[in-house]
Amino acid sequence: MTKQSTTITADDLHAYADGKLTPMRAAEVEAYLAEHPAAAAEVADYQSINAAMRSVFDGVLDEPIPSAQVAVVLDRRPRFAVPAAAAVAGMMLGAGLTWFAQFGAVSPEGVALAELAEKSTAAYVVYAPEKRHPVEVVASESDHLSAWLSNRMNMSFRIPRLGDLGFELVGGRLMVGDATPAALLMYENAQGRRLVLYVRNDLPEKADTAMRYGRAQDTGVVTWTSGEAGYGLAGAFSQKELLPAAQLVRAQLAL
Amino acid sequence: MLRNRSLLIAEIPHLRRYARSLTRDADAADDLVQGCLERALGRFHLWQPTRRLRPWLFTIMHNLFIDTRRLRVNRTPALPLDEMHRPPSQAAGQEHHLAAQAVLRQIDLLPTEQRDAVLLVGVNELTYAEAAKVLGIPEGTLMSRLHRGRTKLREQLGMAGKRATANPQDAIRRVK
Repeated sequence: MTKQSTTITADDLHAYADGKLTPMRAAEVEAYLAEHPAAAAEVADYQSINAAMRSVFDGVLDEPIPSAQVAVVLDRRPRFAVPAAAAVAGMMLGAGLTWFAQFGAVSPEGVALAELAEKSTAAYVVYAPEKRHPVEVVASESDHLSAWLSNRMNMSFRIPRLGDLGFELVGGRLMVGDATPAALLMYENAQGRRLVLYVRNDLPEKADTAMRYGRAQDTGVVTWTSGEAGYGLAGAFSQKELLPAAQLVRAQLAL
Repeated sequence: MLRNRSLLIAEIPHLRRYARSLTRDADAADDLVQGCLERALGRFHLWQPTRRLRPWLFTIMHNLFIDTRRLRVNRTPALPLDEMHRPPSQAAGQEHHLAAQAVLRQIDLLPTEQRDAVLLVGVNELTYAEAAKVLGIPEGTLMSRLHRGRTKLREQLGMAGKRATANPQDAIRRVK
């Protein structure tokens, strides 16, 4: 310890109270405080003033973020031009926020999963009720469908089979993505209940995440990412019904 | 841009805490945060990723707050006054609450410049250099405002010279 550095100023006392000093400098201040009770009292008072303020305001940090503020940042606006889009878009806006809240979208992965959840449920809500044109390419042309989607999405795309769970492929269609097109596959079971698999291959950051389940109103969704590819399986099913289907899809896609 | 947006979202809790300390009113604070986020998005291209995002956002918010403060000159922040004058015979938690509110009340009686410095430094994790930048003043000015503000607070709270029994901080910690 040099003599020069042991000169303790008022600024040092504040900096010590605020925890802004390097450990070395803090030790010097501590040594000084041990011999100067008045200065020690000052520091203690500064700290208790800080503690009082923080006891009032720190609770805010743990509060959920208001959805309106998340919406501002994400600049959520309806993005589809489908019939009856207004009503659907209104619902989507609410659903999107739900996802961002449910998926704790403060990490890039959380944001990616929340967006997948939002897009998958949007696709489900828009296309699953379609009787006449639910898909562009029907299941009987599944080889063509597979080649077409692989080509447009710049990935090797094998169409997962869900027959073991009672779901048969209805077909697929191309969707709007960010950098490259996204794809939608639709499945249906004997009761006519539908499932959609939304796939994109243009995630801004590569990541392999675990599967996440969430739901908005009646629609459940399981999302995950693998490299640049993101997946969302959505339908009006419970978590118990949806998860095995998602696992089956994921296992086949990983082959 | 997705990454930038998620960075922004991650800052929201800190923005809300700072806003709450400035306005003392949950709704007004959230309006302030909302306005700050809108402004920040509008000029996101000006943010240099090498700089910390938080001080940049705080600067925007502080300026926004000053703009609105000018509009309501002399209107003291809304504090739960009724809570502050209850007899000190309450439970420990209540006592602690009163102590903290009393400190805030005294902070609000400080000259605006000193209040800003005491609140910004005391509540948020910024370096002094960053805090000075948020307030648009040199670091030396920040330190002298901080010192004058805290010295005055000690007097107003009857801290200075009463150290024998003292230690309000212990009282605060004890009930946490």
